[in-house]
Amino acid sequence: MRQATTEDARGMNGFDAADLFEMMERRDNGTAVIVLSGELDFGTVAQVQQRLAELRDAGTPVVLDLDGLTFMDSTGIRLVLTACEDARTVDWRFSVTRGSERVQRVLEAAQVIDRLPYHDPTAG
Amino acid sequence: MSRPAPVERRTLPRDPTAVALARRAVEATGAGLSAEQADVARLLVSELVTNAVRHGAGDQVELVLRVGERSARFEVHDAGGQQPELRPPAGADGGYGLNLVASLASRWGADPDAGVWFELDAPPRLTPARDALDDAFASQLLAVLDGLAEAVTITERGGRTIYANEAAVRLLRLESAAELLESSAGDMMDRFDVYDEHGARVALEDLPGTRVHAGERDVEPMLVRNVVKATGEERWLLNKTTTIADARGDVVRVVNVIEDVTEAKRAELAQRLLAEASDALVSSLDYEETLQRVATVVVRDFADWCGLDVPGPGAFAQLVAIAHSDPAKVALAKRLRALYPVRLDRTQGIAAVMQGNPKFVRVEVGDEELRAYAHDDLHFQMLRELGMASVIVVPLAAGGQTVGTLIVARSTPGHPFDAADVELAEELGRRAGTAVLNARTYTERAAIAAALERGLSPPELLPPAGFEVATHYTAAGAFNEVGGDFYDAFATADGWMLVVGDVAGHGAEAAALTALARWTLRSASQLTRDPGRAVQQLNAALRDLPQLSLCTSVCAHVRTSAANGEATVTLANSGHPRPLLVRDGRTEELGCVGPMAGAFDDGGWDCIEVSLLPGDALVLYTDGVLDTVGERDRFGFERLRTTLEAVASEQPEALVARLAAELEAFRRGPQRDDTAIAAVRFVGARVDVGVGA
Repeated sequence: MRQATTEDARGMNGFDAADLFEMMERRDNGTAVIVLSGELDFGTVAQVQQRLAELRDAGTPVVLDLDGLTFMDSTGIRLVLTACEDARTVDWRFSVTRGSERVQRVLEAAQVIDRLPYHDPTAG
Repeated sequence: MSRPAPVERRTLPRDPTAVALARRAVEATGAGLSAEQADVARLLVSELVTNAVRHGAGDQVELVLRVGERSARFEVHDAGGQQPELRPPAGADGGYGLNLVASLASRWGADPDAGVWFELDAPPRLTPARDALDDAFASQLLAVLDGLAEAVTITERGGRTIYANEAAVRLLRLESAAELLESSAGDMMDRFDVYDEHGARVALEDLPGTRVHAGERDVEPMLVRNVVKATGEERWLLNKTTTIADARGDVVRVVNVIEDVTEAKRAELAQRLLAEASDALVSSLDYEETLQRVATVVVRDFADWCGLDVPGPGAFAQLVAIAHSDPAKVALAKRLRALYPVRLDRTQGIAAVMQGNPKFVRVEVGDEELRAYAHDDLHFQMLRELGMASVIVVPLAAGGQTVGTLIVARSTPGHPFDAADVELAEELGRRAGTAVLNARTYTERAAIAAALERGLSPPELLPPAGFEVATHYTAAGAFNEVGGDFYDAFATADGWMLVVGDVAGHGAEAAALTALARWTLRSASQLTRDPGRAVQQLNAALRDLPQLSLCTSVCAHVRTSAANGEATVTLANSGHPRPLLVRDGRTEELGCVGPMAGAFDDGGWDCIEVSLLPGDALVLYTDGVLDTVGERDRFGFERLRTTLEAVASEQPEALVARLAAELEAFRRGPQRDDTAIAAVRFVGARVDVGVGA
């Protein structure tokens, strides 16, 4: 019987975070819409944290679009809740979309799904 | 709770990329989880690896996956040996990860050697994705399968085989698994003739694997007889299936497990054959009929044809039973043996075994060998047509002797007998041998009895002129033993002597005694013309024997007077039932009774003389008549009298027949004793005719 070796995992070690996750940004009447797609985890969250901090510091309203995420764990929850705290602290407008089904399941399991500032698309 | 063995172990760099790598590892193994559970596993592994990366120590994080009977277990280890604390989530950084683990896992925990772990309960339906077959886990799984003694193949939709273990390659008589992977199911099936237990042909569509792919569920295992076309080799294979379903429960693959149960099946068939043969062997005491039944049983399951021989007259084997799976060939076999009888001095086959060789086995007989054995070309052609591809000859053995031979043969090449078949044939031979010996002993005894009876009974009684005679004799039990009853009739110088007697005992000794009594009475009567003196002679002869030997008899000396046409009968009786005179529709017991001959040294037997009128009948009989047992009592004298009086005016023939019929009708159960009846009727014939004068 063959033992698993690190060689078996080599193909996966060559992965690029860019293959897993993408962040795009667009402007909508002065609001920055950050569109996340792919897998948001501890390995991919850093760039989002950094961009949110920049926009917060600039006072730019932000909608964080979670609808395109295929995976999100508590790292994503932490990201969103931290932004919410910042928004309260510095009078910054920050909201999130409902998120993909997988995202909603995680938010529900963590019992935070009712506590997030959701973006209302009709409000502009 | 003991942990199942790991099926997957991944060492990852302790950096943020480890989180996604760990998820990939989980996805690759599948671990038999439903789609929803796979999502949970991915999420929770992410959480634990994230914690290890954020809060742990060392360069590496190790992920261990264990799949048990009912659950999958995921462990995350790092050098820090972290002991996470579950606390209520609070604020942005509030331990949501561990709370997710706690709420979504079936169980979770942390300890120094097991790391942080969680378990998900799920039936471990292993669902390696097609592209994951190269994966380490799949490799391990396949290594296990390869080591199995049972043949395992995995087919996908459409029936294409994507995996075959080494046992399957051997079982399907292939060079390599590749041969199977490159063939279509139909092509593979074409290499075999497949039959079910009842001998019906089995098509590809009937096999469990195909039926499961076609959408059937709960397909029963199927036992088939599989014949390799190329070699004729026959196996019994048990086909079982299990399914591999995708996340939605659709069957995507079928795992076929094929077990070679040839040995067990053949043992079962052999047992059945022996049991059936044994039944046939005790079914009849006619051994030729018995052996024919055995032959019929043998060709049904075991051989294409079967013959049984015994030593016959003129140093040839005598074929006493033959059966062929093709009934038309039975005649061929008989013709062959008639044209080319098997001389017992040959050194091969039936003759060799008949001479005492333990067996003669040629599992593969080529034309060359057959031609060498054959006397000429016709013989060869006939042997070939009968079918001699594989032959076993074994003795019908009983008590250390060979009483005959059993030959079993398969007609067509490619299906040779093997060692187990030879053993089975030998066992059949032993059982049949015992039966033959028993039957022969019985038949011989019956033949001896018949010969003795023939010798003891006059072929026919030729009555003197003016008399009609009829006799009836039944030995106790058909073919059973020679009885002690006898009768005789012979001419004397001045008349004619009718004797009915009964010696004590049965069997060969009684037969010898009967002969002694009969011939003593005959010669003494002829010499003395006096029944009383004849009995005296018999008494002396019996007293000379070393053992007490007793005989009762009635001797009736019948004479006709040339002068007046009257007949007289002189009677001597030694302890025998008194004869009856039937006159004018009435019966009368005649004479006095002297002692049994053989009982005492001295004894006199007075004679009485009775005149016979025309129409009178004299009936002599043995005590078997009176002692015939009916429903409640013996036949007895009164019934005898009534019967005789009812037919008093009949001819002796009719009179005796009627009495015999009455006895037969009266009797319940087997006949216990011999019965002898002799009737003589004086018809008042011409007065000038004496017999033997």
